[in-house]
Amino acid sequence: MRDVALVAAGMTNFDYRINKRAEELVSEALLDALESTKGLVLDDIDTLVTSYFIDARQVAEEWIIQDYLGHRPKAAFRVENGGGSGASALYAACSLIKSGLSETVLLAGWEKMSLYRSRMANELIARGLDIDFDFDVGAIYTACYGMMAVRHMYLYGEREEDFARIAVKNRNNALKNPKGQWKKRITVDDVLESRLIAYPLKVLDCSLISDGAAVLILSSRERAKEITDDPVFVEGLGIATDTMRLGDRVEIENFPACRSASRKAYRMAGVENPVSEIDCAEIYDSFDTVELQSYEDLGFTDKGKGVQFIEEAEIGGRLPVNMSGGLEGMGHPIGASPVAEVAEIFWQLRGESCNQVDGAARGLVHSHGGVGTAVFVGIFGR
Amino acid sequence: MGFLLEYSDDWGMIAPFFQGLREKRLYGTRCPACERVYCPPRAHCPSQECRLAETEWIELEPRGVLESYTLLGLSTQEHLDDLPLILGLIRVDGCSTSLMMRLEVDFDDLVCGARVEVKFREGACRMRDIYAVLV
Repeated sequence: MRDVALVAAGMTNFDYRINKRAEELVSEALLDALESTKGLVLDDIDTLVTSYFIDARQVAEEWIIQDYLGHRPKAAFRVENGGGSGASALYAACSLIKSGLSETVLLAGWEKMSLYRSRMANELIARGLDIDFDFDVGAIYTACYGMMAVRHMYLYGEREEDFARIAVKNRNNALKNPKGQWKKRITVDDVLESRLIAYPLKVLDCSLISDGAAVLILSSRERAKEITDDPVFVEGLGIATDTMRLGDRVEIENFPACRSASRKAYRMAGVENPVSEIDCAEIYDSFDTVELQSYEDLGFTDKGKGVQFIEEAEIGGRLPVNMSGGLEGMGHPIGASPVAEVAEIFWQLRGESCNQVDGAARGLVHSHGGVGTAVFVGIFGR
Repeated sequence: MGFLLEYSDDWGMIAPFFQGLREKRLYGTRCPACERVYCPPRAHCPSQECRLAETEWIELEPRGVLESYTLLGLSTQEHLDDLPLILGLIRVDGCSTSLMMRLEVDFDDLVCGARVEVKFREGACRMRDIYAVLV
């Protein structure tokens, strides 16, 4: 099968972008991506793969995007996989190139969360829980992640302060990201004193509600040379799944599907020891607790030892995580978030990040949908 | 601007579970092949080796173990008046899965592994109409 290259990435500022429609945001991100190429034009793209999550005000929104970009009559389709939609869309885009069905693919992800009041945004996301069971008792996603964290705390003894350190790291990383949404330096006390959403998660333990778009352009290795002198290659990909309802699992304190997805990606990329062989990572911190649990499930440290890894995940640590600010700092326009995570790793490996890890040559992206119901891990290298 | 969608219930083959709530009885389903018991019920066994074997209904004792819990400061529209709300995952005795349900307890008394009993409100027909207490 053919090698897949990332040849360009672009994104909008993540924020409340009330003055732009979704298609206008995607155009902004796309123009950002095209600017760094050797004159790539839309005509050169044969397939468009799209990602957004919430079907509420407008459904089939991908049709507006393909129409607006003038992509007709070329192939285009949407990939939906909850919060992991953008990552699954990448998986599909890579499959197209590997198989030879496509030569150059545009992957576009977006979301306009500002269309809904934050309470309603939480409710729309909660409809991804089982409507007749977990949703019916009043659960929102934060409740499920809260229960996962309570179980982890019961088994391994973390305190709320431990999780708060991750929120502080990510939000303060975002201060260097001009496209990031979070603009205020915070402390552990700020997190602990913020409003309760679902114990132990307070509002500052949670990701942001954002508008935004992010795009990637992918091609075969051969085609990449014509588009950029500085491609990044997809070395490993893994998707793994778990039950929809948290209660249907044997293990609720961690993410078994993350262990499976990462081992698939590591095997494909030839990674044996992630901490020594990977230089930087973007982890899907929909909640800071997820980042801690994922240190363990990604094999960065042993199960129950996540707290001890937090300092290694700082910039300057052995394996910096969420240099962009992550979903808590950069922002979380759902369909765009995983695409932006990959974009950050693309810029890191090209030495172009706003929060650069010195000499980064190999990076990891973790993303998931549901309560770890569909987990994606990707390994990217020079 | 918004619009309200009204839906029909979609209980399919697990309707007996919801009918049971009205009679203050808790039902689960058991796979005839692997003998795993599911509550929430499943009409077919998800274990790959059981090839979606159709399960059988069994009545469960309304008691179990608290696997985890949380205290909500935010919920969905219909439940905002019920805040603060405590939710837990209850592994009903004999089951291999857990039910998410409301807890009527003092939050500070909760610990993973606690024994709980499931209670039914009059005319219960949805998950929101049952709750667990510590025993």
